[in-house]
Amino acid sequence: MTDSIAVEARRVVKAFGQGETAVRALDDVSVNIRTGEFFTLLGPSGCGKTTLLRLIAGFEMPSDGTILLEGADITTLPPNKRPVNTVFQSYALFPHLTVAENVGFGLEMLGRPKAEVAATTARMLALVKLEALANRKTSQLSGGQQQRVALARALAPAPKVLLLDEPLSALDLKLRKEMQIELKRLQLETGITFIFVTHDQEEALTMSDRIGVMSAGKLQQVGSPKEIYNHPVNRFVASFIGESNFLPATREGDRYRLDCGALIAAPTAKADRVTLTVRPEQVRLAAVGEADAIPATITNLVYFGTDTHCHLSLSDGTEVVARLQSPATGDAGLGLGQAVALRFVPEAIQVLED
Amino acid sequence: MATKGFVISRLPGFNPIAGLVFVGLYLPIIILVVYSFNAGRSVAGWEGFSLHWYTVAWENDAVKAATVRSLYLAASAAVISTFLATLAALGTTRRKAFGGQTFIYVMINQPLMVPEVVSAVALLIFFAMIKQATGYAGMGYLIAAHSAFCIPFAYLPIRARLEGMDMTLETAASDLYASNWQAFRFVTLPLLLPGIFAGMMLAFVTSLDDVVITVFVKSAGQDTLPTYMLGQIRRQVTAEINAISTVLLALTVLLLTLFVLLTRKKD
Repeated sequence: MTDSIAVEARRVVKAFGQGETAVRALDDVSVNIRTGEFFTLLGPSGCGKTTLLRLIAGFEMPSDGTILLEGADITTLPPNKRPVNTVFQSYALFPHLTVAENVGFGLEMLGRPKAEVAATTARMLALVKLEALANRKTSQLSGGQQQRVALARALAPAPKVLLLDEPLSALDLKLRKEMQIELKRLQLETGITFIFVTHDQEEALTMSDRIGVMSAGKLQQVGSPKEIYNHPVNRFVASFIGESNFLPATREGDRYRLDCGALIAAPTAKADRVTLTVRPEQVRLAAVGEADAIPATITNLVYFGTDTHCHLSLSDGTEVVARLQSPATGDAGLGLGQAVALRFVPEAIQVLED
Repeated sequence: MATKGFVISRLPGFNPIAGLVFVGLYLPIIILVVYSFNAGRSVAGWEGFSLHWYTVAWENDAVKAATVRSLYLAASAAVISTFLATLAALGTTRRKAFGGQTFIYVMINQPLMVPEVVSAVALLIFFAMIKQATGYAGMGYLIAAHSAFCIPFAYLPIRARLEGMDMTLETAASDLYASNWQAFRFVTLPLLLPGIFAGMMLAFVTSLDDVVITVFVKSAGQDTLPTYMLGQIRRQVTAEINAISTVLLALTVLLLTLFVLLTRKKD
């Protein structure tokens, strides 16, 4: 089913600089982005996510590899020949044009008839709820309004793929939450494939159909938010998305022995020496002496309102964080230095071979 | 108890020195303007207010011819030098840094650094050779010479404008299906226009009051306003020169005010 793939990157390499000092911003990246999905490239700054976006837009050429749009090779096509539009981090609205002229710019450049440009512009302004501001200069708009103009402008030519380069990073928290919902609505209404770049894991989890986690120029994992969160493939993904506990362990038959001596049942992997990872909300406190419970000492308690983070130390010094729902009375009866026991929800344990 | 940092205007003697500088700069000009309204012949004694010398200058055919020639020359030089300076500014800012870039900046700004009299002599000799070969003796030499030395004056504000422009805008234009030419025509050029006008005005003013190169390059009967005035002063100083200077001053102030208004950053 190749026709359901909107964008495909095949073994893409992008190196900046030459010879010894060359930096590989993208190092052999291959990914398929499906038609109509909300795909997020997530990673810390400098991981190559924006570079990949710029290669898809055509602002830069890859050093090696191929980029396909709906099966056609567009690797060397200039940006104005690609049916792909971008929402820039800085919005890049044309300051000498009005809101309506900005939105109609792409269609004007495509040489569409005046009536069509006017009709589409009006429809796009309605889509982002800016009809009233059509004749304003963009410098008279607030950050959130400029963001909407940038969206309408990029959507007006009905691109096959919309690229969004950290478009929400300049907005304050409240506006950012509104725009997250707005973006998701626009994506569903237009049915256009969105490729969204962000370093904000919460943004990625709440908006995306699928996420590609990037680090150091490589794609670490591609999957749905649930897959990425619940089954991270390596330590980087587990620690970058949400919080995780990491427990070094050694295989003993079909179980793992933690360094503190406790035996844990978990899906067996090939390697003998592994790291077990468990999310803090999948750690439970148990009564001291309970069967299979691991003894621990409370080293810190941090109150977050809805829940309390309980920092625990195992007998070998390994740190474990448990996220406990705050009880109705507000007092869980826990104290610093208190000896407790903990157990992990068995299905929540992931085995990382690293 | 806010401690003030170093403020240069609080140094002893700052105000008297500043005052002296302004007196030195503007007192001669004020005297020139005042005496242009003098009724008498003398440039030393005040004999009452009159517009006499403006009328004299207005009715002097030589002044009229020189004025028209000056404006024609300055306008031609401003247009040509601004066109070339725009291309140079685009060429030096809209590309990746390259080896020899500093050398090119120096080459473009050469007229600012080479002593004007050296350029003048060089142009005189160069144009004499062309004149001998072709027999052409028109205004072309003056226009070419003025266009050349006006380039840096037009170049600097245009380059400043381009460097202050967000290059993402051009990227956005190409993302929105604009060809290179369309991106330039519909995004770069409209945003660059204030810089181009500013450069053109600076070039115009620079050409308008040039004496050294003009004196060396001009043929007989090609006096511009400044060279005409220089010639007049050699013979006899009259307040007619004051009147002409005052008009030139007013024109220059007007153009430079426009320049400042156009280059002022919008908030």
